[in-house]
Amino acid sequence: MTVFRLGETRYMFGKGAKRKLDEDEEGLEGKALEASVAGGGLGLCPEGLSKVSYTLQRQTIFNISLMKLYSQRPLGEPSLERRVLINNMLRRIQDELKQEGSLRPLLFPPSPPPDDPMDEGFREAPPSFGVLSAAATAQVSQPSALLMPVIAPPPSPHPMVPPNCQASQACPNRVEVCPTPLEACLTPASLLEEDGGDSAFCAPSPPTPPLSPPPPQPPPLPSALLNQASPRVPVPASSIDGFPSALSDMELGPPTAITRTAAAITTTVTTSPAPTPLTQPSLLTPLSPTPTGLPRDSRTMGAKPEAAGVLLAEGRCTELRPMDALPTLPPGGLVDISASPSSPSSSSSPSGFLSDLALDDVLFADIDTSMYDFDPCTTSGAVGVTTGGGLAKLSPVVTADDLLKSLASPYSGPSPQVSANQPFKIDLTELDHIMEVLVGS
Amino acid sequence: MEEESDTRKINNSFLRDHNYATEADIISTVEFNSSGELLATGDKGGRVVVFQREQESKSQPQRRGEYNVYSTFQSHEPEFDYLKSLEIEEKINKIKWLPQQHAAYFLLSTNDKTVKLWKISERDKRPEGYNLKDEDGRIRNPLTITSLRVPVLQPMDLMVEATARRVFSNAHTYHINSISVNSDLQTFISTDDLRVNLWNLEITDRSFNIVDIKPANMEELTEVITSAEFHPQQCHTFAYSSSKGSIRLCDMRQAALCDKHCKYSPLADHRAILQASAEQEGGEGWGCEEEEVEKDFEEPEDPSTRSFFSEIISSISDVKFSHNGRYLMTRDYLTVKVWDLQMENKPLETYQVHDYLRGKLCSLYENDCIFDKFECVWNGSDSVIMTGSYNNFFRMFDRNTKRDVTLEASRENSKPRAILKPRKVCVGGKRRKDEISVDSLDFSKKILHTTWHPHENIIAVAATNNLYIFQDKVN
Repeated sequence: MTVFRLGETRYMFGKGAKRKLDEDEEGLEGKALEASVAGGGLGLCPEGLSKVSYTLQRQTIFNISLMKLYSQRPLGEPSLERRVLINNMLRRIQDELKQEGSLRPLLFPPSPPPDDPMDEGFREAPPSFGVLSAAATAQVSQPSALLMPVIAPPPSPHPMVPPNCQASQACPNRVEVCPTPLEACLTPASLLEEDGGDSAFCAPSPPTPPLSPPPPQPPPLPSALLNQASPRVPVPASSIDGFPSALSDMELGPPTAITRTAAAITTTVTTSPAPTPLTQPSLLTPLSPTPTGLPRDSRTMGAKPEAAGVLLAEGRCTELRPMDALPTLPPGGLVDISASPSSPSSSSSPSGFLSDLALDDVLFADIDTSMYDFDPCTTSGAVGVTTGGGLAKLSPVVTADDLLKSLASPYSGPSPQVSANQPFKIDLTELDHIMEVLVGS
Repeated sequence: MEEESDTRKINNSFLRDHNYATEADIISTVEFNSSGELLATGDKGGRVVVFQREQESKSQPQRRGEYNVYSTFQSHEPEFDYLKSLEIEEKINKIKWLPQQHAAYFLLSTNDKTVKLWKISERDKRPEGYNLKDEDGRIRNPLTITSLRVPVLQPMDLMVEATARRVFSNAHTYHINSISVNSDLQTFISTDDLRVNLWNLEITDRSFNIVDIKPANMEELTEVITSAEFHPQQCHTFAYSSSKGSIRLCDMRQAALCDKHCKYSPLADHRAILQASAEQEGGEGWGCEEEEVEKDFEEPEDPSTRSFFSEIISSISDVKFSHNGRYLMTRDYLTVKVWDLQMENKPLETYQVHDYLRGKLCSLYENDCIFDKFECVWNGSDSVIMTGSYNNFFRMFDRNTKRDVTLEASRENSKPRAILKPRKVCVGGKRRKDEISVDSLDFSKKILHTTWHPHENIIAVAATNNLYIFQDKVN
């Protein structure tokens, strides 16, 4: 049965650039499917060779989901249920990718460390209806700012945001969460060729066996089935313990700084409605709640503009947090804004790469973001992906510029990422350290 | 569906390129009234067409009552929400009849935002012999009137007129997906994605919100309400389904807001509570007077069938109480489930509607078919359930004999009086004659809306813009 399913699915998408990979994997498929049958179904046991097909399918679904969310009819209001379901799908895939990334000794436990004030609201988020919400912690964390802008797309009053990009302001969040694995999956062919365990890519590349031994499969919890991503990763609680120890093993500069950074990383907002475009102009712009968010929210959600304002403020300040960890960055005047009250949305699932994203906002501020053809979400969507792509490139920037340019191919367009690094060349050493930790080299 | 037509073209999926010549004629809902005499259909253009069954005449006993058009009226018009710069579709999402109390018929029809109560009445007499005006209606010169007469009612051609008696508006921020009339015949509920509102049929400027699952932060929204219905006999009980595959049975006597979010308890504890209350009830169905705990009906997921799309295909598209009020039927993407109201941990029966689609979920997700909302319906005696599928197929399941049949609603295959031939979809490699392979199914031809006569074996099936009415074979 599984054989039939997988085969069918693959044929649906075996076209274009991926055909080569399909053909290469025909032989692998058979073995992979047999392996996954034992694992109990599609996508549950991507061990060994079936992981490639699983990853490919997951990536395809991820892309499809993105396209669905952002190619919307201008006149009519899209169905909320459809958006919610697609959003959940994206979250699940992102969580999976994150957890895959966290198989390496990274700093991102699926649930944030307890010392982070941002977490309070997150833990107290109202349990979702009808489902065991206990396991939903990390999963709920992906706030869907998509819903906010999409419900009411008015013209943008914010000067920096292009008028038709309201709905897309959450795009960066959708894409940036898992940039490096995304990169790896977006160009599987090139990565397969280049990656032989090159840690600079920091990708859990499908062909290479996982660096850490695959965790034992826990018995599937009914709640986990509906909420959590793959069961391959042990329950959050245990991973929290695992990571700090992994951290301490690392011989890096100031471990506390890194831990703090990690803490900040784990709590960075995934979905502040418009972090990237809004911070593009300058990190030092005074953080006032974006007018973009507020009027929109007041219309859509009735009486909750303050939540949106808080969200935006937090979005900005979580981006600032990693900045704080770096000594050379502008000091605390901007940190005060982080005193904003904890909002449930802010303590989103630890997207380890979000701190990098924040860095990218500054580093790649001039990036041309016109790579996606979506309408109306062109710019922001592209921003997100580019910055996400840029994350993977950040490390190669440090280690190998050639790799950067080769990776830049299909998805980054004509933007010269390298040039944007100039303002922070001084900090490259520190960044280098941090990036090595983040990507688990 | 309308929003996905572009996506389908872009994706070049296996859907044929369809051109709806009259998209406004796409039927969006069908409903028999409580006697079965009338059948109402709503379409995408906001119109309601009501069919009436012919009286069976003794002279032609073979000609069982056929349904003919009785009334047509424009129920809803397209509107524009200036605040959000969004169009409000006039598509009729649901029609529900009120049980007939007097000569006129009443029905509720709703689009995304507004519910309207329509009165359909007949006029077959008209007054003639006015003093002040002619038969044409022209005013007579008073000076020419020499005598007075009393106007008399003269028979006229039957005229059916529909008037909007109530308009229930401005209560829903999100799209209304269902309405349900209470058994008390005084109230009804309207349900959108996040809220359920209770109305009194007489009062249009006020409604009570009885369910609200909107999170404080919309970004945490992961679940929406997909359908809600009142219990057929218990006027204080209603059920609503969610996009995560769960159904909640609520008792309005418990609290003003049947929400239970903050008080939600793990399933194990909940079952214990329900066990206790069930014992109190005496076990005889719904005749109790004690207050009842709200019940959550949810089946644990089968890990062997888990996939990326597990959540989406578990989203319940329709929930229907059985006529006797003891069961609940839910329709998700691939199955129909019958639940016993006393047992909330798993369904009583599960029927596979088109399990052969399980291997195609990715493509169906791409072309948005996975979001199609199929309805399900009971027959009058609750022994057979019916639901639609693709390729203009619809399926019937006999709960007693456990037999099922697939039928097709198409013009080529249905001549008047012809018996519908059962169809079969082949899933294996070898296709027998008359079978259809999964790949040649037409996913643009979907039967989402069906209804069953309350007493007889007459069904109405909406296939895009065609309405098919099938009757039991007369011996």
